[in-house]
Amino acid sequence: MNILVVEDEVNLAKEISDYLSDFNCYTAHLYSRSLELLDEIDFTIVLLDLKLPDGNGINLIHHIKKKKIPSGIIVLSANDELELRVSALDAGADDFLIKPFHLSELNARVKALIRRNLHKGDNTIDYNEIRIDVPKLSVTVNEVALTLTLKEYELLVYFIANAGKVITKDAISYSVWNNHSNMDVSNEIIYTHVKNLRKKLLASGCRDYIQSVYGIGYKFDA
Amino acid sequence: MKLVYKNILINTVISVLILFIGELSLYTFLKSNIEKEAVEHLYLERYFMVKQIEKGVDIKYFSHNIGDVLKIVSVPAVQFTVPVLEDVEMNEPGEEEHFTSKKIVFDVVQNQSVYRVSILKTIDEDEGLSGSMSAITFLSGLFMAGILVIINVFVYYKLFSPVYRLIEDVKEFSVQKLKKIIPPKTSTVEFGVLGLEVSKMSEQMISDYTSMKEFTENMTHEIQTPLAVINSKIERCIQDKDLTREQALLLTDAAKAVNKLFNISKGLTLLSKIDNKQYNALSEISIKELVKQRIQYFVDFIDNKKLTLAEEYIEDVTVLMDISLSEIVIDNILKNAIQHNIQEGRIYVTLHNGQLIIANTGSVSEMPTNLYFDRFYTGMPTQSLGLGLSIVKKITDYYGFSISYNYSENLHTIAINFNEHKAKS
Repeated sequence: MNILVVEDEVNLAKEISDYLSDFNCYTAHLYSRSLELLDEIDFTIVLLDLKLPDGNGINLIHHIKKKKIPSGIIVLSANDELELRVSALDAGADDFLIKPFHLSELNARVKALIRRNLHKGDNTIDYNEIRIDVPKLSVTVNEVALTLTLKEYELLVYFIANAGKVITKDAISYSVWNNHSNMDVSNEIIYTHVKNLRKKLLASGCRDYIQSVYGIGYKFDA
Repeated sequence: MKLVYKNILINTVISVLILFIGELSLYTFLKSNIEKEAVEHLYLERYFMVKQIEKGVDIKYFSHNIGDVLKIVSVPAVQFTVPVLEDVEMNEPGEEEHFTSKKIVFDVVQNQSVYRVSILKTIDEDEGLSGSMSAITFLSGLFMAGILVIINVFVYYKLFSPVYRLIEDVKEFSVQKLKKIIPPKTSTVEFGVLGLEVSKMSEQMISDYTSMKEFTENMTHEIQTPLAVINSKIERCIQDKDLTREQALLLTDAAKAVNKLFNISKGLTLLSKIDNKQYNALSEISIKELVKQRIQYFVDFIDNKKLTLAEEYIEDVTVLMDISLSEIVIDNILKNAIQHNIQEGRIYVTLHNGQLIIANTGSVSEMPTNLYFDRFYTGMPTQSLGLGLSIVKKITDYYGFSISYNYSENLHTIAINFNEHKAKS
């Protein structure tokens, strides 16, 4: 699957491409270059910075929609103004992520969007013996249903989206606990929930995927 | 005192003084002139008499048509004197009135006999002088005062009208409106200069304000991308399998600092946006529903600290607010009540009579009550930025709600009164 990263900050574009290693990433630092690439290649997802040196990202959304290109669009913006968000979503963007964001968060959103766009009827996440039915919010391990709290469920989805990667506690609290990451207690809360999730997974006969990474966070890996 | 009254008062006092002095000096001048004339007249009469006598006119024939009173008496020759001029005070019989007269006394010789002649001239015979003078003065004074009032009112309404208009403009001036003061049209040079300078000043203020605003906006905006780069670099570093524990901790600290920086810039952007009145969307918000909904986001944090939450919604209150700002207010207060709470503490949420009270147990506050809503003032060794409550204050001020903080009996209480809501357009 191809992803187009439209971002004028070369460093950031490179990091995004490197992190989204499950996909083929192409980068465009200019509006004009992104138009060329969109003509040449089919992209599943376009990651779009709105402020480009030679054009406005919103116009690129209009272009994609006008040409009926089926790519999903995630806007990456440093500006979190409501009007901007609304105008981007109105133009046809699927998601809106405010800079600075965690790459793991971007990764999770990209995967969620692909699931929504590609598997409209059958929106499931499969990871070895684990299967998540996203619309039903249900989890099965080896086809046996597992009862999770909403937070545990969200944690699991986030872990699987970033499987094989180290995720910081900050990124988890931002994504799962709704941006209250600057609360003092979030580390303990994450610890408690991850511990409970792990217990439940192990009890259902699941392999121990959740590894704690000292001082940083967790890694969900086989 | 208004300029116009001040002006009238000063003008009146000064003109009354000038009138009084003028009258006094005029009176003295006239009086001395009349006296001088009388004296000259007396000398002339004497000269005439002496000449007549020298010509041989019998002294007895001089009649009363010389002076007002003429007295001729025969005196012994030895007593012959030079002419003497003297003042005479006298009262006319039967009348209270007082007369001042000039009298010349001289001796003439006729037929070897000496006659003492005294000619008297009354000065105050025109008795109306001072009376009519004061009447004239009074009338002209009155006339002048009337003219002065008219002139002053004219000056006030006509001449000074550009200044008063300018004052009104300055009063209404606000940099946030981005409307400079237009100098009022005037033919008075000084007012023209004043108007122009004030206008220039307002223009400068607006341009300073705009550039400061732009700076803040650009600064907070431009800082996001580098922060995103730092974040992404850190995230890549932590993927390294050979990362030592020490390096991991260093990277976590760096990530925390970046996160803090991001939150500061977000908070400051929010404050400046409220300052710039960039939140104009109003929605009807039920405070009860809002609080209940926001509390859901904090359940984990409340449980984690083993806090007891007591909610009491006696009656609901509906306000017109921007939704995101209303959420920020409740979130920041709840966050504050949780973070500054003690383990196994309590939080009381009460909605009653248009007032939302959120109280929490906590350590004894050494923070002065008046500093509670100040920017960056945390007063406690937590990781919070100290921006939260100043944002709350800013938002409640923006909508005209009153907010207060109180500490008593181990309870920190923040109360917002939504009833004192003044609709903002």
